[in-house]
Amino acid sequence: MYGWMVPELIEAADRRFNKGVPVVEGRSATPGDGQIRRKVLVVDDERLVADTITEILNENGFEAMAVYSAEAAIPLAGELEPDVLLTDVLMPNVNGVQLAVALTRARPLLQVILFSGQTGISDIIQNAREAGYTFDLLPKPIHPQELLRKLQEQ
Amino acid sequence: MYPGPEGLSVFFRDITDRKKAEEALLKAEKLAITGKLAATIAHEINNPLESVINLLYLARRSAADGTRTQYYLQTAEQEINRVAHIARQTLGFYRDSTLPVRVHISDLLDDVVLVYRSRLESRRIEVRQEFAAKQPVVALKGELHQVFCNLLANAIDAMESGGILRVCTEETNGGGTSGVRVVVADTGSGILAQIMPKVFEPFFTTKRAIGTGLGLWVVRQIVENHGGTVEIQSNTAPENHGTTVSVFLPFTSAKLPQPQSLATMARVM
Repeated sequence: MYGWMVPELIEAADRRFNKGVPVVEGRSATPGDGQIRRKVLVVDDERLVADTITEILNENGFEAMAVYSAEAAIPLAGELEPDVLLTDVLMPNVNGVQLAVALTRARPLLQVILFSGQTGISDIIQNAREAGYTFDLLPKPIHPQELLRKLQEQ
Repeated sequence: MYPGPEGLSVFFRDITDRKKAEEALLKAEKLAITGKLAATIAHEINNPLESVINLLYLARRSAADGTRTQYYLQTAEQEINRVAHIARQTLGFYRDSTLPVRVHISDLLDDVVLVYRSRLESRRIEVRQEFAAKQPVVALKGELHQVFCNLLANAIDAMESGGILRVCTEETNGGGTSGVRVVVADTGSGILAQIMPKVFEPFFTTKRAIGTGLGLWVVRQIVENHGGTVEIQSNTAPENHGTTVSVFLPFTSAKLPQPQSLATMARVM
């Protein structure tokens, strides 16, 4: 079992994002439609949750991709270079807060939104806060309109 | 009793403490099992709920406006929102352990406000926090989390068109017992005087569509199990409406199993 920070994950995230590729922080352009579409990486071990949220976001002007574990999120984050990380908290092996810490260290302007079906995760959040990482937290279930509003306010 | 040559010897042993210890340990174990069950059910329910809410949203976007299909989906969405509300109010709490821990109430309230931040913002509710209490209370953290989640949920429901939510703490000495008083005050619609005596009754609700009638009942059960008290004052007058809930929690309570005494109990048993 990992501690609340996962050094291997942090190193992997650093490697993925430190490729020398120029990144426009905060927004990304989708070729073809001429519109700015924010990129969202959706992480949840509940595949149906990840897939449906991704579909909703893609229908509403975002460029979203789903992945089903924190470990799988690291390489995908390197490819996608997301503006937003939307992640479940309680997942096997590596939790969403550990993932968020690893990715925000590599990409400081990444917006992180945690969402969870359990409210009893305050210790995990507290550990991160004490180390200087404060993340937004949404309780599951969250209505898509509320999620979209949250993402659009940035 | 042992008859001897010159009389009778009678031995009495006071086992009151042992019996109390046994009861407290059994209660703690029962609470722990209940809490874990609630956490498991909450997790197992909230994930499928999230999926169903998302699927209904996608289905509604595909159904033509004004059709019966659209109406059915909209009704299904309303019903599923009721289930979500019930799950939040009754299954949300999680017992991290069987034992009470030192809880800084201001940190706990920060967490609760964080959970509800999105809903507070969407209702345009301004939150004013004044945390004067510094000393921790010994408490079952997950249960207290549930208490203040329920109080904030009620306050948000009462302020449909925005308002101000005050969350304050202070150290106080209530009736000779030292502790922390938490005040959650809203500028919502208020509670009518005639229904005030019923607000702590189980299954009593004024929220027809989404109410469970369990929120305040759960609050009182938990607070009283911590040796505390809950008081409510409310006003429905147009010029000064709102509800103030005051929760007093002693710094320590004999009602809760204490870490040291539990260890002793285990040895006694």
